[in-house]
Amino acid sequence: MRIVFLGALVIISLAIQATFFGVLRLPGNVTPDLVFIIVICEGLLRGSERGALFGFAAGLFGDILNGNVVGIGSLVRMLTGFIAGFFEQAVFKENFVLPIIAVFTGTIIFQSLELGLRIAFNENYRFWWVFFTGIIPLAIYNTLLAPAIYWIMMRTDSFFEERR
Amino acid sequence: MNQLITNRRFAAVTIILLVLTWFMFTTSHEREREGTLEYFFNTAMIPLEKTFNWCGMLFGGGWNNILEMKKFKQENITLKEKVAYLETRQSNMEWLENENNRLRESLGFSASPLNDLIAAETLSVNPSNWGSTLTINKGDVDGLHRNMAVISPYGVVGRVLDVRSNTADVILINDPRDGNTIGGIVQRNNTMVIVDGGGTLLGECTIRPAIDNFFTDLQLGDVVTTAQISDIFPQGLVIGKVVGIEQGANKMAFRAVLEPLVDLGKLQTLYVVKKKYETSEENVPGGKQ
Repeated sequence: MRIVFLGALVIISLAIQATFFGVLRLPGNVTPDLVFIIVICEGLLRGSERGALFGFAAGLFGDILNGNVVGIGSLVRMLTGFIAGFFEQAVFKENFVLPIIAVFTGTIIFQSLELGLRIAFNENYRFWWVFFTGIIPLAIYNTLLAPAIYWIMMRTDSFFEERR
Repeated sequence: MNQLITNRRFAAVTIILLVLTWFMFTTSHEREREGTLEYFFNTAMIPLEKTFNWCGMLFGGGWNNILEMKKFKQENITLKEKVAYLETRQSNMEWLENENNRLRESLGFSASPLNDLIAAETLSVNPSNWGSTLTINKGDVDGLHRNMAVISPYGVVGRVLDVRSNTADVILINDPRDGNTIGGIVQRNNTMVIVDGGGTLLGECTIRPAIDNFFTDLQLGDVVTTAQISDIFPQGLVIGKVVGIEQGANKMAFRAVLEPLVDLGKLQTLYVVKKKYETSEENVPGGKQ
């Protein structure tokens, strides 16, 4: 049941990114990456293995919709979920500080990795320019949305746990 | 080592990584057709995206309309005046067009066909921050094909990438993927340049000289238009404006930043060029009659 919920969450998030967020003109020409936030939250709530598996599936779905180099988003999100999972036991789940820090640093580290991989596959980016003008703003937008998404995922997680 | 190889988790991760690497290498170049899975998922997402668009227009549009009511009134008056002026000009233009056709006929030139355009609406944009593509509401049934030019009244938008039965993906000129390139002409001095998607900032393009290891004469504010040699785009459409230049020791540019003149983030209606206007031999004096 929880898998269905997570699947629906990813599909709706991608649809929001493709429609509502697509017309936003935020500084840096980037829009919040909801799927990326969800992957980090899943890792924090469920651990490395689940985080990596979910990151892989969500990333692959995003890559297929994106239509560009398939696999980069999937690899990056799989790593993101895996690393986020190390902090599963670190603090109380009700504490919102960890997800905020995790989303901010995770966006900077793993989106930079994604940018590096895209440059390696001949996409025309200039790393430091895009890092400062694109990835830093993206980290801020993601961080602003992180508490709300973490709260939704935490509540549904406990809901499904209670029903078990 | 033996333990590591027989470990199921290790084997699963290795297989996943190998599959992903294979995917990355096979999809890193522009493909003739999108894969079956891509076709299926992109088509399946359309109804949801249409619903979200409809909701956005219903709530966002309604709220904006209330906020901008006063502005609309003033705009309405201005537009009515403009329509009256343009109608007068239009009748004058029709007279000129007729006269032009008469003169062409008398000189033995065939009539120049206008670009055959198909109007399309944007359904959704690429959900990723690392790609600039749009999905439009016209597809195979409307006669769209891969690599048809997509334009707006302000200039070049991009080209058709993947065509499905009722929708199509458009790759914008600023998409940074390998091979997204247009031949351009600097209006000021008729120098040929190559415009690549991506570069310095997200949403911008890069200009390089048409010949490798060659510098070119560029200035800030130069307008770049599509070149005649393009197989895809009609000649003379505005691509963008030079907003940054990287110069060599000889003060000549080896690379420049181009800002598209079309606001690619706010596209609603755009036009697919079904038939490119070409200066055929028949239209050249002394050419085939």
